[in-house]
Amino acid sequence: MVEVAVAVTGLRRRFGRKEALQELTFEIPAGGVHALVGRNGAGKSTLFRILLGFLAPSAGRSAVLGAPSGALPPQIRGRIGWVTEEHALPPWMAVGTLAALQRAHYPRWREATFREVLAPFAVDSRQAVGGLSRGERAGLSLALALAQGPELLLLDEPTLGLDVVAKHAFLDALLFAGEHQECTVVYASHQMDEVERLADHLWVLKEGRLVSASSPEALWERIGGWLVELPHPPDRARIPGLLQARALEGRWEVIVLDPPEAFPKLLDEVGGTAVEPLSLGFDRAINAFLSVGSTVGGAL
Amino acid sequence: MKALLLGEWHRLGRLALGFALLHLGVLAGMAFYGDLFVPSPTKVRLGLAAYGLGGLLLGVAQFAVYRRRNLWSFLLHRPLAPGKIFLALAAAGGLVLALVIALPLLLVTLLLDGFSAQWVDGRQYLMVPFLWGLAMAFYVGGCYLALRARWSAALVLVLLLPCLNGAVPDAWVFVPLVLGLVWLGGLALTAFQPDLSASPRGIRATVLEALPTQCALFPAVAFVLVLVYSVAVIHWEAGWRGFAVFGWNDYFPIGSYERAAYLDHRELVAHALRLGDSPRGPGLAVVVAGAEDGVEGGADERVALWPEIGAAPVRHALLFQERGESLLGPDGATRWVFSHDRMQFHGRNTRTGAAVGWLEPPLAEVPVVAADGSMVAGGALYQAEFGAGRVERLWQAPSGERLMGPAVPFDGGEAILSDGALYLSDDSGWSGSPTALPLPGAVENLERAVVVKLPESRLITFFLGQLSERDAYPARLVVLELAETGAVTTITDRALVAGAPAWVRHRGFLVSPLLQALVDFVWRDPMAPRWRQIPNGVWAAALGLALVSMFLTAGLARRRGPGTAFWLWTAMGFFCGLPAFVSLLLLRPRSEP
Repeated sequence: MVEVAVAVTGLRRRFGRKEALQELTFEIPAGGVHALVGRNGAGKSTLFRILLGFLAPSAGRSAVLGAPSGALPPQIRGRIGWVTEEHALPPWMAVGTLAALQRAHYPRWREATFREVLAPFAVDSRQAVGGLSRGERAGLSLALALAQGPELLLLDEPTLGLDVVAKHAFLDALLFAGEHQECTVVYASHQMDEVERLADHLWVLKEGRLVSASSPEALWERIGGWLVELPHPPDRARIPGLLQARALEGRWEVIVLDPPEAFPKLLDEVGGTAVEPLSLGFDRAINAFLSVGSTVGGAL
Repeated sequence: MKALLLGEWHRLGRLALGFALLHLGVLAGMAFYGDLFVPSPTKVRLGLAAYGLGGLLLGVAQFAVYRRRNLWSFLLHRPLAPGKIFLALAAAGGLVLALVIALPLLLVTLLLDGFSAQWVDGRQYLMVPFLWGLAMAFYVGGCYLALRARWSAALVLVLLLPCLNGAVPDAWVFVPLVLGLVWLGGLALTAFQPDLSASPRGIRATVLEALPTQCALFPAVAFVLVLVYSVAVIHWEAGWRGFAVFGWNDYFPIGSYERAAYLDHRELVAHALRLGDSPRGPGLAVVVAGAEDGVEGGADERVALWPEIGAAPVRHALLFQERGESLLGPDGATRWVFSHDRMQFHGRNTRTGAAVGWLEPPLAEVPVVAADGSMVAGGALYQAEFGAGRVERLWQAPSGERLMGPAVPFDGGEAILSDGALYLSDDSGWSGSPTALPLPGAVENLERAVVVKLPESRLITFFLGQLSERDAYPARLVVLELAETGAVTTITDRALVAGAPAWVRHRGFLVSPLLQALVDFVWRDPMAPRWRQIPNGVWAAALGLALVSMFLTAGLARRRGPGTAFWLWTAMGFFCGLPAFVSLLLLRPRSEP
């Protein structure tokens, strides 16, 4: 078992003029569930493709389970599970045939895990993959990945497009596997309820840069919110650390990163009245962090 | 690997079975309603195109489906080396092609051999692995096209050309076929990598991809020189005449090869007569040029003959070189097909399909057949006597000579061309001794011989220059007058100069001496000159162009990426010339990271 599951140094990737990844450097330690969050286009999928060697970086290097991404040997690939956003599986194959194909290639195949993970999705082994619903394909995709007995499981927005029931079934299956397997999970998502439920560590990507690496709670605690009446729209020059501001029935909801203890006093100084602290949920706080710079109802 | 192969078989097997039945039906129909093993050249070309295209489409379709990004990662992200994954998929493709192509072909051949009166040669069995191999080679090419997803990648299919055009007519064709298959397989293997957006790198991958691409680009670059010459030189000097070659004829000086090359037979004879030193020449030219067309036995009766060198039959040739070695009996009730195994014609009733028997005796060589039942084989002229069930020898050329085509009727007798002389028989046929007119040069260089009947004599014009374009042989016009007494007088014997400048005639050498030598070797081109025959100016220009190409290629390669590939591309720029530069532009676009 390696100590570092993923290591990335100075990673850059350019698509034409757009920099999808910019000087990315970090290490993901082995063990636990690591959520990689970011808005669409933040570079999460690009990062996964580079990590698995399906895309060459424009600069920098990366390694997965100690092996360079550009030349992952088959035995290392066998230790990495990979679940994609589209759950793309050969549509012409029957579920049983597909399982048999994977079983033949993975010596640590766990049939019991495959059955248990797939059970809530009620998939018949004779069904063609092309005939499965998106939720069923998601379950099958996860069951195939977990049954391999991976040391590292990479999931790229796997619950995207799933209904609530399918999503819960998927997350339950993932949690079940997390409890029964020693596996490092790297989970890309912008669904904060999932992240809150699953993640031990939170990695935040913004415009191709890593802007935060901590536990989810640690980042959540750094974000505070207030309702305040202001004579003018809030802006960053007057309110340091302002993440997001929203006009609500004549008042402003302001969300701030790393607010000082005397933040209400600071609001007073900029003309704020009726200052009232807000209780921010994880979802609301992290989304504000991701959408830093946005405002609704006035300029920042 | 086995699991992947089975998975692919699950995907393609049912479709393959459908196509196999369809193919079987088509073959059975062709065997029932026609003669499957005596196809016309058009049918042969269509058949080769269909099998090649079938393989190509299967390769493209099979791999293009996986090329969708995440399905690609599903396929490649497993504890199996990419090479093994590719081999498993390609093995499934090979099985599909065996089911769709080889099995129906073999079944029909076996059925015809065992349960019909049709005689089946060994070469017809050999067509089964050949066509499967051809489809397989195109299939692997299709895999490569799907993986590279660039139109320029199709240029590598040039590797299969030697298998298609009959340049290697017999079983030796399996050598270029296997070479092409292995080469394309190696290419597809290098392209079968997790990162499909990147070009295959490394010396082996670069050579595998660049060399055939450059070979394909080579004639195109050489053709640009012809275009430059025709547009910038000829049209600049002589005015616009379109691209028709005939429009250029009078641009070239009198006494040049090009001036004579595109004249019709009568014009050629008149032109040759005027070129000669004999005082009778101009007068005879007026008679020939002014003669009335199409009068049988008239003063202008004429016939043209040319050696059928490229189309000479080869024993055990596979069917793609088929020349229709078959005859229809006089009543139309019997079709006689030549067997290469027994070297005899085998007859079958055209309505019932019942065997009629063999024409005796066996021939020493594969014949070239004329519609009237006459044929030439080696140095002998034969006539089929269907009623007697025999092939009678009419005439034998002098020892060591080969006849180059069937006999042609002329002036009550016949004319026939050998590799040593033109023979004219009189109305008593070939039983007497025909008049022999020795060829004034190598038969390979003979474009045509034209025989014209005049009231008191015959004019025989030999136009040599078939292989003169690149100075391998000299061009020449010779006119002989054959009197009724049998006396032969030379009216014209004139060497022709080359009309086009040396840089146009040696354009291939100018573009790349190495690629030109490779092409000459592969096609065994008789036009290839000895290197010392190439003018010094062309050598100097070729060296200059190679240096220019080397610097251009090196500059571009430096921008596209460093490392060993830079030196490789620079070397290719020098040795392969401008095609190397163009191939670098196509194979390593700037958009790659």
